[in-house]
Amino acid sequence: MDFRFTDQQVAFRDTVKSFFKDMSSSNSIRALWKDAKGFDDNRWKTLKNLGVIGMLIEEEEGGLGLNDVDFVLIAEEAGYAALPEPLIDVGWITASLLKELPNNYKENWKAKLANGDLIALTGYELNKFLPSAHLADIFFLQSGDGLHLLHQEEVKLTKRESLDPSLRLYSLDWAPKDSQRLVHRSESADIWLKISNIGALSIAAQQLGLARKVIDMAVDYVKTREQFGKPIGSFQAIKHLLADVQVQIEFAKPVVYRAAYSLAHNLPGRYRDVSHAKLSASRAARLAAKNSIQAHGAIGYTWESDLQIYMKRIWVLDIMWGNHSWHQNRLEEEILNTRSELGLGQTFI
Amino acid sequence: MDLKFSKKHQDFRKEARAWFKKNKPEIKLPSFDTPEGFEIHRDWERKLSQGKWTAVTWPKKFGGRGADLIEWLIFEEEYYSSGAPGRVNQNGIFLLGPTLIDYGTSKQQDRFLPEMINGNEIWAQAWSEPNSGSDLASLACKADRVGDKFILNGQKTWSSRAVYADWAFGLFRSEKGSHRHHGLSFILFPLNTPGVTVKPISQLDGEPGFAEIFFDNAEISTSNLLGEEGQGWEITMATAGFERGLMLRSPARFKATASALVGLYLKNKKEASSGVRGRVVDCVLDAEAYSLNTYWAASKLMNGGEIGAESSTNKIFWSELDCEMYDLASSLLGAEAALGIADKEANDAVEWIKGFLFSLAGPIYAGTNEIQRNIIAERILGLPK
Repeated sequence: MDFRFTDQQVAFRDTVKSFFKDMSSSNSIRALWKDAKGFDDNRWKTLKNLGVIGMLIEEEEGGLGLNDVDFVLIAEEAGYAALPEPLIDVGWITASLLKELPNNYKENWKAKLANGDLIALTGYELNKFLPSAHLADIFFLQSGDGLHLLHQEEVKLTKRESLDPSLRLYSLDWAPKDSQRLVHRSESADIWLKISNIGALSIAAQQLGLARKVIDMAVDYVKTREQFGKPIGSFQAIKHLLADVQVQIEFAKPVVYRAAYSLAHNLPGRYRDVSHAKLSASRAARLAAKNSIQAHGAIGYTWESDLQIYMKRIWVLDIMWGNHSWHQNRLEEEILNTRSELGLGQTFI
Repeated sequence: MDLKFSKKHQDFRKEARAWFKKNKPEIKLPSFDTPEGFEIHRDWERKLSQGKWTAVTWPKKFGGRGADLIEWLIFEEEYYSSGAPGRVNQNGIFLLGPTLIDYGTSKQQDRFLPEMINGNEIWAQAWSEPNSGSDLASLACKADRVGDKFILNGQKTWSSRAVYADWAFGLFRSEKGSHRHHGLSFILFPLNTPGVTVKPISQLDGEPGFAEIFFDNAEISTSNLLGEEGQGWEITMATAGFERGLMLRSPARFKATASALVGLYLKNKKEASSGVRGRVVDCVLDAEAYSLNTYWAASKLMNGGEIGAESSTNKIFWSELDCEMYDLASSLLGAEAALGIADKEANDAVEWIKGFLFSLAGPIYAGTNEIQRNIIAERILGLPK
């Protein structure tokens, strides 16, 4: 029993973290709002060079052969940075899906993806809007339980106005054809179940990072903003707003990390753990956004304040891969109806 | 990351489970805050010590098992799932014991630890004073040194278990004219010392779970000084660290309540709203999160890490979860929620009502949650004082 990440995992996380710090400032994010693609080629290239995009792909295919426990730390930092590029969607979700496909396709998507040359996105019915769909070369899409491969030109994209200007949202219009079907209904159900849970976990990890980010911003602000002759951060009313969030973050972390472990090791309680992770991290992040804007006062309610970059990411991610009610319902069913054992001595099995 | 129990840990669990199955009392014991209940709980401590289960984390040479923190958590899980009685000597075993092991002389360790572990001496704590609650460093109780004695004068309050306990440990101002956390000493004293008067305080449930202690020129041997004169604050903080941290509030306690709450919900779900249903599930999840957080912290501690102000986040989390669980239970109990704990026919409801009342103490004792929030804001987030 050892709940810690390895030194290697932490070192890799720190490398990626310092890259985000240098290369995804709020200015660089705002600059992309007016950009046609909303995508920074340099940043993507560096992510590829760091090995992050292909980190889940097997080494013989050009990846790093890592797993969900490794990615959870990276996704947390991508959240902290409110990264505009679809690293999580490509490198975690779609890469995981590729690993579930039978290995008999002509095209080597894995190698291309790991090489940063293929933007492949995954569309699932739970997600009405697909972020960054305009960037995709190919899509893996669900119809019923079937799994289909479509190329960019085979899907009609309709752009929707996103709450988060960094995350462009599209609705997809397509009609499944037999020729595009990679995996049949019956066999694809398990794949989709797994992928949808990886999706939910990836949101939870990002929410953890985002919650930390908006609290860091609030802390910086209340330490310098003075009223009544002193920093407002010295007032207990402000301290307690932020302390409440810190409590939520500290208790969401191990829940998210455990869910990553459960998924990576195919443990029986993995889907329950994922829903718990999604709920905990989203609760922490939503409270973080609410209390951070409160601590900022009126400036937090402006377009000018960078707080919006991170708050809006929190709110948009919150509904992806199953919103609060979806995961709450799943857990209610599990805990109250089927009496899944979350009882004493059942934390780890 | 490796979230599997080792063979050693699994064996430890098996051993504990078998022992509790065989040895835990058949019937529910009367409250340890009654004279009769106190002695029956003392007997239970003796029974525990026969099985070497009193203080599993203490080193073997002091009668413990030298258990690591994971074993401690496993022990607690087995303890609570067996339904064994509450720990009347928790002030001693979980607060003073580890502090004595860290700060006591070998003479003091030999004198106090065996009597503590075998239940012969039950301990109370004596920290707060009428004018020094959250602001403990303002305390005024005096310990004047005269030769090889301290002369104690003043008043302590909210001393848990002091009504029936044998000994107490507390913090006294031993340097005349000293201020705040300077000049304080950590002193152990028998509660039957001449000049020491214990006056019970009835708690919200009517039982005398804590007391006022009055000192009127009470003479205590200086051999009962723990650490050095003037080192009292440092030692108290170490003790309070244990109290707020892992030892006293293991996750098993909250997981046991959450499981019972699910049972209560299922029994009464016809009358429960969907809002209550959602809150019950949240409690189960939060109890699980508390458990995960504790295993996480234990992993850190076992590998050379430290727990600092994080114990404040812990304290807020478990105490608020506890309030929420008992609040929900009150709404699920139906008419019986109106009964007092002395009602003879209320049976199971009494445990919930007692727990509900006690849950309200959680955010107050061991440093109020408001103080904990200040600590988090200042020490973790770095906000100005």
